[in-house]
Amino acid sequence: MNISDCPRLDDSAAYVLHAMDDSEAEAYRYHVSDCELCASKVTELEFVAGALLSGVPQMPAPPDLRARVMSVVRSEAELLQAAGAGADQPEKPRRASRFGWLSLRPLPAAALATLALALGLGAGSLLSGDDDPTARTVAARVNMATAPNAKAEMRMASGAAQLVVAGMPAPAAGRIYQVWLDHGDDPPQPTDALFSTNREGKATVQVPGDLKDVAAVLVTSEPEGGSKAPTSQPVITARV
Amino acid sequence: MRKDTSPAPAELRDLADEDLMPLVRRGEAAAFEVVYERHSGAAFSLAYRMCGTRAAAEDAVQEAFLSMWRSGARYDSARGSVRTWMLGIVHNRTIDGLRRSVVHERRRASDEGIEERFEARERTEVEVARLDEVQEIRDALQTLPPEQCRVIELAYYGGFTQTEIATMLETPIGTVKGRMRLGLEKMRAQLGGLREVMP
Repeated sequence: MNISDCPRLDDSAAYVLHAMDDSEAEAYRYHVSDCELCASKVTELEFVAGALLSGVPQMPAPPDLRARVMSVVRSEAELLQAAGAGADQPEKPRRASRFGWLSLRPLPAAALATLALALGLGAGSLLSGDDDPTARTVAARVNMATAPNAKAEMRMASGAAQLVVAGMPAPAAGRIYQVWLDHGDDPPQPTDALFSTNREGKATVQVPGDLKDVAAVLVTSEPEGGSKAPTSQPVITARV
Repeated sequence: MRKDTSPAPAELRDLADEDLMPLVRRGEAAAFEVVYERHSGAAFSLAYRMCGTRAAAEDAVQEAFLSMWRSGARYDSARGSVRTWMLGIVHNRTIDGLRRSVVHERRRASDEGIEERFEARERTEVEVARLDEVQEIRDALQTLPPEQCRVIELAYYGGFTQTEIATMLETPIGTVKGRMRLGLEKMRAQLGGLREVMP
């Protein structure tokens, strides 16, 4: 077959350069599955696209970025370790879940779900409260001398709650923010919701557990991996 | 099953990326930190080239590395190096972020003089070799006819779609596609000896 035999051969470059929108890329992917010429060209050009990933002026990553990334990584690793040897075994086959991402790593699903939502990386609204008449947002009190402009609020809908913070510095090295449930009389109940904030001081955290009988949701700064009892005063208090 | 002992940090640094990934998959934070040390500079450089601001680049790299940490099981050594896999994640995440942005006009960092604005530190032999390859790739791009170089940069580092590029340049989309393909084919010929970007 002559190279000019496929009128879509030029699309191969736009495809490997990610210059197609989603629908175009999907249509071309379907075409490639049935066109040897295009498949061959895509393979050939993917090598160049891979090289271009490195073809930029090189500079070191900021040191504080490493601290932020590793703080979260160490916390998750400790959770995995705490979950025991069985936690790093592949899960048994099960029915496909619409939450397929839960099986990406062998972390305990609940812990992973919480941590995955706790990164403040622009995941967008996790609660869809638009149609829920019980949906409400309450302002939370932030007590951080180093961040007088920090703000937090808790969004509740359909029995779930989400804590949204802004203007809050990342925890100090070796520390992590932990969410607690305060039932009033008893010591606060620990949760596995651990989080850091991004460079803009933002984070979105899914509050785990049932908020029934919970008087307030608290956030404290704790050693990486979290604590069983608070070791510092709350930096955020959200009255339920 | 988890091993009773894990390699010491010094031993981890002697391991190849492909040998570190099984440890990362097992949840070894120290192994992941070595991978981060090796490739965070390249990741940040790529994100900065695409975003044009340090803050946005930092967020993109943070998101990409945490995604990599959680999805280590998806790395397939048969499909390329850890570095290329990781940079691909950074690229995809950054493009997603750029295309989500309300204001589509983005400032991109100029190539000129960027290296000089950051400290020159002592480099290892591996890093020097890597920089030589980086320069080879950049040379291959820069020696393309300007119109071909432009469309490739706008697409790959700018995150623009072919339709957007055609509009920006007031050029038929077919011409844009053709320039992209011709440009990549020329680069392919120039970089023929470079089978894999990084060791």
